[in-house]
Amino acid sequence: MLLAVENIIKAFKKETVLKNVNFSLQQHHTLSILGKSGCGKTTLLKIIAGLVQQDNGHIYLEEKIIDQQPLNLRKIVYMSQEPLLFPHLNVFENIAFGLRLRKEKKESVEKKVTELIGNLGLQEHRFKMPHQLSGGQKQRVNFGRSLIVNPPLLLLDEPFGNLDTQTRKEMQLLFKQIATEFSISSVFVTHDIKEALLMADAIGYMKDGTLKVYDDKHSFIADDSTGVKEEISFWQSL
Amino acid sequence: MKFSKKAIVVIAIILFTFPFVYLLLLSLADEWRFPRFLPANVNLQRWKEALEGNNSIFSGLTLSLIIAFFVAFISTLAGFLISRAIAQNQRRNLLLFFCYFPMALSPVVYALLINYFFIRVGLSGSVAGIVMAQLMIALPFAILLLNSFWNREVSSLEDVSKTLGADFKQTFFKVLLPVARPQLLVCCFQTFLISWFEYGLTTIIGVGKIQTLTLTVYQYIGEANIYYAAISSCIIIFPILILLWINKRFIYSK
Repeated sequence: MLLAVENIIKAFKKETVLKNVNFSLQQHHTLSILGKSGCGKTTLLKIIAGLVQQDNGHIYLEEKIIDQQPLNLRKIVYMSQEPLLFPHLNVFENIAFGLRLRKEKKESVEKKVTELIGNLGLQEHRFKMPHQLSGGQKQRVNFGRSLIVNPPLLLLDEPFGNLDTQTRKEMQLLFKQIATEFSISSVFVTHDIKEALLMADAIGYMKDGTLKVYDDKHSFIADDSTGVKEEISFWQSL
Repeated sequence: MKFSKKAIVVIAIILFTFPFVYLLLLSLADEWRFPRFLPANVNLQRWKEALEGNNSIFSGLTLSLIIAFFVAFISTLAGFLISRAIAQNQRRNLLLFFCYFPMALSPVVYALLINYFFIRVGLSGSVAGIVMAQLMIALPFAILLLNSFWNREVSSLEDVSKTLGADFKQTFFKVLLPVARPQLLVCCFQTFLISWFEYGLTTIIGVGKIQTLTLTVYQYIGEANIYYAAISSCIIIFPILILLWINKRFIYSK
């Protein structure tokens, strides 16, 4: 088991955002967590990443407890809805950031970044600054920057939420392709049912701070509370 | 319409440049008495004397540069770190409110209030004392100026850097400092100006032992030595013009 989350509880002042959340994730798998805005999805990801401290419960990565580990040592990369590229670095340097931190050799950085830029279809943009890129291109760079350090776990918090329909579709396909190619393990948070189904090996539904992980996609679809049936009947009624 | 616009521009240029041209002319004048429209003779004799090295203008310039450099550097760097700590504090507004205190007081009154303590610790009449006293005004100013930098986006960039494996030192030098560069340069420029033109505080804490260029100008004016006062004024303006040019060339152009 790559990731195990046990009995996570988190409250902000009097409001309990996460109520005893439990789930696990296998290596090279993607778990989609679906849920409405404000149900606690982002808080859960931030707790796993180390950006927010839980009130109770434990997180295990590769069988080791990581609760007290500073976020820079967790090796978990968190990607938010906003691409948030470093504004003072160009595309190449943004992607190379993690490698530079690890003091990799110049030639190795050049080789790895150039290869990844090719995979992401960003060849023409490698020397552009972030403000010169479109939303989709920024998110590609964001992917590249996260993937290049080869993290054991990637946390994606509605990464395509700000993109238009067409770009979103392209990015979903790109993510699927890259996830397979790089054997990525990830937790993918979204409020889009279709996206959750498309991305995942496993799927969970979060409501009012509780998470239910389904055995397979069929049991997820069959559950009335997820709203999938409603969605299907809406499209059939047209 | 076109003519009136041009005329306004010309008048504005004349009004802006007149004090500089007048000061320069006065500093070069051998003698310039009323009712003469222009000086009878102009030469560089006084400028030579002023820049010879054993003159109070030259020593004032050196001292002003040293003090202003330290005040600008320390207040900008410390202001950057302290404003970050304040921005992350729950009592942010209260702490920022305290930063307005030194600016609410006149520098002279402020100097009188702190002078006793400076005498007790032996800082009165020393360059270190002047730097320290000016920092008490420049540092809160820097904190207030840099406080707006610490917004949610910067905080998220910091988080991104850390999740990619950077420790605080790496995040500080590779992300925060480069991202804040324009604000830091503006802050450096502004605090340099605060120190450069500071008079009241420097007079009282310096107890006559520390003669900065600004104090030298006032001294010449007090002595009715308008020619040397003009030279000092020209020299006082020169570094500011260079800084303005750097600001325009390297900061605003970006």
